[in-house]
Amino acid sequence: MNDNNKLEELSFLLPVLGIILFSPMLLMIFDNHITIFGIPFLHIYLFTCWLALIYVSYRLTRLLPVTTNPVDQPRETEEAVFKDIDMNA
Amino acid sequence: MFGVTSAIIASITFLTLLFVIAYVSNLKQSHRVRELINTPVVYTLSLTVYCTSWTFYGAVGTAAVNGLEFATIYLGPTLVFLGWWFILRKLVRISKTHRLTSIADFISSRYGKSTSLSVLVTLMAVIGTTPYIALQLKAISTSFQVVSEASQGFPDYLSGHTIISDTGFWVALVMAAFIVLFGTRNIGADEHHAGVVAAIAFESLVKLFALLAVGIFVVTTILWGNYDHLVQNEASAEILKKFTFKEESGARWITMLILSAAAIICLPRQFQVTVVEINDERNLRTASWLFPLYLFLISIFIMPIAYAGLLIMPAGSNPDVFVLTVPLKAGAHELALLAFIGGFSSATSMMIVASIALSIMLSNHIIMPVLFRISALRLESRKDLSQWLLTTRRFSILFILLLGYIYYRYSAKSNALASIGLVSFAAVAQFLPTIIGSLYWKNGTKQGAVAGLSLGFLVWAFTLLLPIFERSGYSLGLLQHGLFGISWLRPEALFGLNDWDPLVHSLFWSYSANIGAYIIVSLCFNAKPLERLQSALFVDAFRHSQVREARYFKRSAAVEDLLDLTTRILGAAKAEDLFRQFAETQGEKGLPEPSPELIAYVERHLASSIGAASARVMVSRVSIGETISLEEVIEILDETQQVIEYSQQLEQKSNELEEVASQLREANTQLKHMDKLKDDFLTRVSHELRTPMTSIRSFSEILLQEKEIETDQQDRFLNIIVSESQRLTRLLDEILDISQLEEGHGAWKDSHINPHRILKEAIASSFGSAHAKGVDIIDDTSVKAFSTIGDSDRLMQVFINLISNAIKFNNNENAYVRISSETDKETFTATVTDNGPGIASEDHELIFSKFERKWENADGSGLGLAISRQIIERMGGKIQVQSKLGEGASFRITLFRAGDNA
Repeated sequence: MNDNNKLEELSFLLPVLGIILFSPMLLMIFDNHITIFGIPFLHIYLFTCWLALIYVSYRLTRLLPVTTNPVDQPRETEEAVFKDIDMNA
Repeated sequence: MFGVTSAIIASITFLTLLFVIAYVSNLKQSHRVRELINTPVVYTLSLTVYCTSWTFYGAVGTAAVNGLEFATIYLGPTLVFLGWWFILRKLVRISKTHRLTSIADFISSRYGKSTSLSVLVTLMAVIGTTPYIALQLKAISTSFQVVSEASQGFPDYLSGHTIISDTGFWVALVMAAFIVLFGTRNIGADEHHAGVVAAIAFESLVKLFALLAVGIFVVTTILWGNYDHLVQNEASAEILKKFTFKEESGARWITMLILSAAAIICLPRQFQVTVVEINDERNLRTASWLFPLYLFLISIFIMPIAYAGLLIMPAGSNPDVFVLTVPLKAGAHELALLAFIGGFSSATSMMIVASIALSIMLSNHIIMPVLFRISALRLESRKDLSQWLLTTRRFSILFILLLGYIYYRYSAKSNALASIGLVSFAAVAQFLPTIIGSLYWKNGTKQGAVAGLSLGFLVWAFTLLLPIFERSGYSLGLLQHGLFGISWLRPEALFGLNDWDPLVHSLFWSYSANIGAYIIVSLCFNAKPLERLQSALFVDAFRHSQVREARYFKRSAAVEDLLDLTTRILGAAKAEDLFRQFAETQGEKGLPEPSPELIAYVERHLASSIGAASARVMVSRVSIGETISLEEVIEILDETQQVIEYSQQLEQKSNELEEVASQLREANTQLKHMDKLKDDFLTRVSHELRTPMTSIRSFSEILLQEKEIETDQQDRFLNIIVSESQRLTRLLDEILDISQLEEGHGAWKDSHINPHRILKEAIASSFGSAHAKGVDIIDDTSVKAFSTIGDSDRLMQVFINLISNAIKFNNNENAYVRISSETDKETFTATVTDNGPGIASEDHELIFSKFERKWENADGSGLGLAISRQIIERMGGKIQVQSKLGEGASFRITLFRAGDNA
């Protein structure tokens, strides 16, 4: 139970981290005039951070508890959908 | 070579393919296809309806002009999905629980199913989305134009001078016909469009593939091939300079991040695919990282394409169509055709979903309620309303697309794609404060939401929409002179806020007005009962998602009336189906039993067709509701609050329980131990009683049977019997004594006593026995003033017991007993020391126990120390022993001075 709480808190940190990484302040720090294979370093920074965040989110999501909606009612039966098509065709 | 004709053929083929996909997905037979549609991957792909032709064409245009700024449009949604656990998951949970069908439904439902709010949100959404649809029309017609110019020049019939010759007009019409055909085939009980979702997912693959293909072509053929040349090229160095991050773009960067993050939540079409079309809440887990990954992939080649476009296209070319013109310029015509289809695909997917989402809102919240009020139509008494619903949906779609076209024709033609799109983003972003408030703030009220939304929207229209019309040749001179000629009411410099980017300026003022009004007005009004109920259900969605509305409202209605109502709105087949399903959950066959749950169930299902507010009105006409009083609702909410508190205390409680359990275990062990001691005690007592009893009995028997015993002998036997009886009596007295002491009664007289004096007396009475045994008594005591409370006889008993024990067991040759006493401010201490055999340290505690003591010698029960301890403890003092085996023993008694509280 506590572990889940910590995971939730950690997953709150992720978008916050994203906001910091993509803030104009940090971008200006990495906006030097270095290019690697002709690619400005700023772009490499931005896209690397982006991909890293996605990867962390992928790992974190697998750890978070699976929640389902208890009121989720069974889907409309197939017949019902089919009948509708007939009805309005 | 490909020209206009092949472009048109490709477009129509593509639309036909979409139609087939949608049709197949809706079929019953293709079970496997339907399972595929419910997978998280297809769900995620359908979310990418976010990437429209603004992404496909416009992103490169933005990159060419403003460098890295294009990325904000994808970073904002990425951040929202990284935090999916907090906002999106809750949004989905609530909407599914309450069967909400649109963003208007969501907001109106939260604030007491308010009709005025749903109308307001619908109007805002329609107006706000119009520029966005115009953007798509512009992108498609521009792409047609590019294709035709590249081949044989623009044909006359598409010159665009009149509406008839305007590509945009025909695109709008064809799209309207197409969407009517494939998006409004049936009225779902929960607005699911499986076919549409499948088609959108397919389109998302097409546009990603096309953009990646162009990107890879550009990088490998144009850029990599000329790498050495480009590195030294001055022109390319100039272009690269554009791609830096300028200090002054910080505010705009942040603004666009906020706008795009808001858009992914608030855009009507995003709400439709993310929240309404979701089949399983778990799909969101996959989307949380897969959707950002899609955005990442689609963004990765934007900069290279922009770079190549600036490099090889002549100066002044439209950067918004670089995706198309760069491959054409490089002679890759097949690739250009692919790019054209990709662009077409991204534009159509947006138009399809947006117009379906908006048409649901328009028909549910505006058109149908109005039609119901027109008594001449007698809609209420009609047998089947589903046809009416479908028709209004169809006209709504036509209306929305034509509105988009009008905007495109009269204002959007000259603007860059991104700037048109951002106007839309800024409009729908006005929903965000209200939505976040809906999810997390219980005190938000309907009045606050109305005030915040309308003020924010007005400021948006004034600061962002109005300037566009001003610049499109319909100027009233407001930009220069301000509203009513007041200079601080200039749309792009409100209250004298000059020199800011119009977008930053607009977001600042509109959000200030929106959030400020929402909070202040909310706090000025008290929520109505239904509103308070809904706010609790929304904000605490995860705490009690089982809670049904039915619990809170006692209504009754005839089942037949409800069935009739449902039939009229959803059609006979669906209505019967719904009622049969409900009856099954009740375990009934045929019609279900009437119950508040049934009414709530019917209302929820009707809500998904005609909106929560309308459904409430309809159902209330056939059901007799008990008006719920404020007190009752408060009671309900308190009850809810209690449930929450209970759940929070649950952990604490279980910890406490655990503690109690361990205490019980401990007590139990102790009890068992004491039980065993008691048994031991009884065994010893009976043994101890047996010994004198046996001798008394045997001597009595001898005296009885042997008549010829000598008198001396008889006397001896009788003496033994008497002394044994005395011993027996003493033993019983002591046992009685200790048990009375333990229970706290027995002979006991409390008075002020001086222990010094009592000790002195005890020593004096012990000299006789000491002398008899040859033990020296060394008296180191002196009588001093000290007063404590206790029973003097009892204390005397203790002292005598200690001294006589010390005498009795002392077998030293030079045996002595030293008695000393001391007094300080609070305590009296008496010490009885001997040089006898001593007591092993492991027995120190045992000697005071009535159970464990080895009962010894003929002269006492051995209970003396146990009784002494009882007496001293009852007087509030302590008795301790210090001893080692073979080194004598020292007993110490400590008593406390009688205090004020004694």
